[in-house]
Amino acid sequence: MTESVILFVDGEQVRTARGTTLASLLHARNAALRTSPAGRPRGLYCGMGVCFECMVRVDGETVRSCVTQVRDDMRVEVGQ
Amino acid sequence: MTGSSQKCEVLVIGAGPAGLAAAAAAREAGADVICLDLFARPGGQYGMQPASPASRFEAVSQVAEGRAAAARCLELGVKLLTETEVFWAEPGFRVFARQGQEALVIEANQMIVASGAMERPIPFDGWTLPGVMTAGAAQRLIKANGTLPGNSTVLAGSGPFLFAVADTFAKAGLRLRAYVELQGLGSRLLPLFVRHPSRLKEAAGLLRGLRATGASLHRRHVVVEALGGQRLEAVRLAPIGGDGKPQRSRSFTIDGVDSLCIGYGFQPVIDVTSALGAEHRHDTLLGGWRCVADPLTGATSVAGLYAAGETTGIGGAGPARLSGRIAGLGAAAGAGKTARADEIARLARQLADARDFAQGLARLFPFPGHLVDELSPSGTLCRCEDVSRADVEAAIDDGAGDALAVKMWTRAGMGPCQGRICGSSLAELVARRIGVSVAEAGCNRPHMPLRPVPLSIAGAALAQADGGCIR
Repeated sequence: MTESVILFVDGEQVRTARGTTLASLLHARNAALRTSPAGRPRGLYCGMGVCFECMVRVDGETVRSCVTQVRDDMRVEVGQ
Repeated sequence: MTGSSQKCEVLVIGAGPAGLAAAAAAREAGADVICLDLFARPGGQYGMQPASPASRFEAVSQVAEGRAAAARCLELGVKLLTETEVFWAEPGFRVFARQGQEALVIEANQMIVASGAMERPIPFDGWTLPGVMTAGAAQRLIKANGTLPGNSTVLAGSGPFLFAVADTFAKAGLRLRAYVELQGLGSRLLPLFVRHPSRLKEAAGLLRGLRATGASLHRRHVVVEALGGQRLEAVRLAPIGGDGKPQRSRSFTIDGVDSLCIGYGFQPVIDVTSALGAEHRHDTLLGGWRCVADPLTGATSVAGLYAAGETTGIGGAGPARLSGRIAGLGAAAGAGKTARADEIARLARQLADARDFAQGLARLFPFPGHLVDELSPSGTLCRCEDVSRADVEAAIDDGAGDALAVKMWTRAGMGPCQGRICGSSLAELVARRIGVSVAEAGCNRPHMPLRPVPLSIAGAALAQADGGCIR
């Protein structure tokens, strides 16, 4: 059995598998993760920490969700 | 914010096939070794470890190999630091890294950079739409996380890695809508496998995987546009004409697509080696700019600095493992340990053979940098700063004579990715516009910090370091 983690995405409680990346959880919910400086939608692109397209806010800090592991009680804000 | 410091004789950056081989070799030779990696689990992209031990990928040979290489390092007493990202390095060596919310300074006598490869993207219309991702991102989603890139996927681009991604879809029991490869191949593959028959079994397995995905095959086609409003909805393909260019008049659309996974090959990750001033050369067949390393020791042009694996030129896991072991022995020798000369000679022969196969493959799938010409004037070149092709060409026409000048002029490459994503295409555009080689058009220069890092962590790292001065 895979252990699960409970966290919050835009206020909604979400359960997911421990050991996965935040980007994999978010991408499966909605491919759009942020807006570019010109206001265009962007999503997971490189998946390995290089492109910064998957940036979201976690507990107030901006992170690349593709190199961030899910943790219990994380407060995630998408689309900042 | 707190910081800590550590010391070692040999520091290895990257825990992929090259880094793990280097760390094990240096440790076996008697050096004390720290090996660090950005990701949560060692193995690199090739030997990436699934999040769950129940994953069907646990038994896959690359995963098993990554697991064994990491276990071997731990058994030997290599200190493995995961989720650790280097943001600066000084000669001598002093490396500044971030580990979660902590700052870490590592002082090392010898250093091996095995920081791997990243995608070598070619911008095309619509490539910024959510749902469009690199082939490597798709691989990572499925293999490491068990997440689908989408419900209806087109896999496109060029090169052997696409076969591996298709095989990953097959192993996960997933279907592909279409498989789009720029090259025709067919009989051109034969001579390579006649020279390297041992690689035939692996290739046949990958082809079986591709068939199992049920993908419609489009050889000698390219994606010319990703279409959609707020996210990807369709993909436009065009056949390649006799002049090597896409024939727009014969293009067609595949509708109902929510994911496009696209890759044209890889480029070496050279941020640390270039920040330390090592010699680099541009070689299209090896992925563009690469760090020059001695084939018998892995030594770079900087004393005490070694490079291994994809950092020294794209070649895949085989050359990575071998050059990693060579660099590990080289660095151990640099730290005063004794390495066995007979082993080095054997490794060097094997490396030459593995490089020969990789070069043969690279010649069959040459990097199609010219496809950047297909990008519309309004198409985005720099994703971070929303800089269009027209913005870049206007700057060139106004006198920006190389990639660096264009960067200053337009902000292309000045966003958080620091030009890693658009840098090679920017150089390609400059080269084509002013009629110089891509190498002459310039490289994407490293700057401090190599990766964005909160000021508090940078401060803690500086406080930790003796003297606290970064040049």
